Amino acid sequence: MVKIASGMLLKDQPTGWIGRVVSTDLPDSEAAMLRAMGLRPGAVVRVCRRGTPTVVEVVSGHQCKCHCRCRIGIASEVCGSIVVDRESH
Amino acid sequence: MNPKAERAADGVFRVAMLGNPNTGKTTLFNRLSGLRAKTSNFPGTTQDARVAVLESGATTIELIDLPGVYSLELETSESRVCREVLDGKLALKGERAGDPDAVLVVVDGSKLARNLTIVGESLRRRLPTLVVVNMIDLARREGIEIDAEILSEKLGAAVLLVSARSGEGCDKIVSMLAISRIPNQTPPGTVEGIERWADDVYAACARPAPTHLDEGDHAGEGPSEASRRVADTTDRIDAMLIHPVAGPVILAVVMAGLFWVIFSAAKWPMDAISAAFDAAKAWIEGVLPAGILTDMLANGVVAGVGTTLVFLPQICLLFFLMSLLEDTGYLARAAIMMDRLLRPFGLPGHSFVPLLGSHACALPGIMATRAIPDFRDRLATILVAPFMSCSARLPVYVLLVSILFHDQPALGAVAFVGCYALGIVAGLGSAMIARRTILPGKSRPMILELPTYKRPSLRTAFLLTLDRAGIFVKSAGTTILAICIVLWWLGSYPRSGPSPDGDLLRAQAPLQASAEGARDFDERAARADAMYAKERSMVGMMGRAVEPVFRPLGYDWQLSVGVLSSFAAREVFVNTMAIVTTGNEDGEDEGVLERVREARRGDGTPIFSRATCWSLLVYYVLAMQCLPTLAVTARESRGVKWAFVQLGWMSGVAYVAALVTYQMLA
Repeated sequence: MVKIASGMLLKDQPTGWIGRVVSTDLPDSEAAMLRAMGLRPGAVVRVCRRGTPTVVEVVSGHQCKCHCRCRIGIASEVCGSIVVDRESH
Repeated sequence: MNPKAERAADGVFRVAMLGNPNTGKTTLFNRLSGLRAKTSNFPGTTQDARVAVLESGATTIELIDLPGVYSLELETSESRVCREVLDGKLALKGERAGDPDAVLVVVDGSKLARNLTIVGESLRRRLPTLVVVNMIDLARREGIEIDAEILSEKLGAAVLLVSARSGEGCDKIVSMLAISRIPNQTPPGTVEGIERWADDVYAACARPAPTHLDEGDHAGEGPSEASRRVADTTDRIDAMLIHPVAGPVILAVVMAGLFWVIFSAAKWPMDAISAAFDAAKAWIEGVLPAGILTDMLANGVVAGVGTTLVFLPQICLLFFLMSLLEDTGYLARAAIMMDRLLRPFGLPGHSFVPLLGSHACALPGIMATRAIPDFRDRLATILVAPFMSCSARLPVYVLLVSILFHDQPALGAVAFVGCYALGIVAGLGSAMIARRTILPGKSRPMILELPTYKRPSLRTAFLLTLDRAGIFVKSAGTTILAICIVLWWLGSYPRSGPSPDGDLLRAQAPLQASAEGARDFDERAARADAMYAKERSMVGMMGRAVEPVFRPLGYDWQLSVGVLSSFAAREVFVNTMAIVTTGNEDGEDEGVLERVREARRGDGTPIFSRATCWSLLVYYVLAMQCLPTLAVTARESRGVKWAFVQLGWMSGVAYVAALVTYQMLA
């Protein structure tokens, strides 16, 4: 069973961290762009590089194991508005 | 008759090519079109597209490569263009808007799940559709197997698995396009609905290799070694290229190498072009009878256009090498790394490549701003790009630095570097001011996909270079040609007869003891005539008229003529100064340079005093002395308003900075 630890921000996660996107608190245009790039609520992401910029790998969508491995470079201020969860079993 | 029916009657079948960025869409388009493509723009937008006409039996297919977008529903200029083309509301310049006859959706097989979202958005338009799963070879290498039959069934549209790079499957695209049908499936209309639909479609048609993240999730399946290796290698390369210290060092080395190649490899074709135009000029003057028409053709059209086209090799090399770098995946890393340095000045990381390119020539730099997604960011970059020291400034820098630091090469080198630094500082400062005044707002925080590292495609780079070179040559043959003729006229009229000094020298020529001495007198007479003619031309008169304006900067009428006549192109300053001060137009000749350095006014004071040289150097670093750049700015910003803003701002900054410099040093 997945336990959600709420309130974590993507910008605070270390390199190598893996978790799910919960929500974004961004202007509509940026939220929509991230979503279209695959970084949407429920998506599993891996932090490839922490800092400015942060590099994340979108590993899968909400329901499927799609293994898209899309890498996205994100300005740190945007990462500060992305809420994520750690997955623990 | 509606546009679609009209096209059908003409046997033309219009296909819109749609897809995410980095899906190999351009590579596929180039493979299908070869050299038959041209660039056209969408009226009322800042977007353009490549168009190609392909033949399939009796059908002529018009293939339009739309901008790459992640979704049709985003509020970006690219998405709006794609949306309106598919909805039949927008067409390329000169064409009537109407529904396309078919849509060719290109998706990346190695990132299929995400790419399916735009497929769903497209299918909802109920247009005949062919879905091409590109990079299938890369997907297979990563262990992803895609069942085309199941995918086709789920989408309700024809599906082809291809590799645009190797050509696998590409030969069937055109014939399948011609028989594509309206999809028999309609994906949901909400964002969440389409995402779930895409996940379901992917789950049904693809058998992904387990990745390094799946340990424990898939009983009995270990992580894929290939997948782990790719991710680990990419992590390691990214860590190095985006590193706060190593990243800029690598970037500096890459860019230094790039510019070394551009400047060294472009030298001989530039010399060849220059020689060809000189020969053409001499041929015209030799074949046609002397007169206004001959003079205009030789000195206005050929010499003027030649001055611009001489930069074509540099422009081609810049685009070719940049395209190769972009294709490897490196430029996206460089842009995201530069984002943190540029954003305080109101520019996004995307501006890095155009600003860098402007160091060779502002024209390709400004053309490269098309890759900047936000229009205000793009406009800010266009406005400041000409502050970067381009190669046309080099002859002016060489002249002035050699006067200032004659026999002091080390100090000369420092001054040279200082010129480049001043241009960069002025550009960034101007961007910051622009973003707080005429283009208010911060640049958008950068969100950029970092594409997979791969071997670049020479074919794609070649075709892009050809396209950009075509645009540049077209500009040189239209706007720039007109400008050259006007400037020739201003610099050549009213006509002056032989100068009194020239007559005197010519009279003395036959009295010389040797033929060489006589020839020397004739040459001096010709130089005296040239100086006399320039002084009495409209540019000469204007120089005298504006002398009071430039006097506070330390420029007398001769230097004012130099500044005015180089308004079209900075490098003309050197030739003009050579003519005005020595009568010889070869500004690169060492003897002429020496004479320019030593040139004095009637009262014996040097024309190029130390304060005047510094003032001129600062002026030429900062001033917008390039009409072709203004023409390109007007075109790329879709109006002359921004070209005038650029001219006014750069001229103002240059004037004030040169004034301060002169007054401090005089």
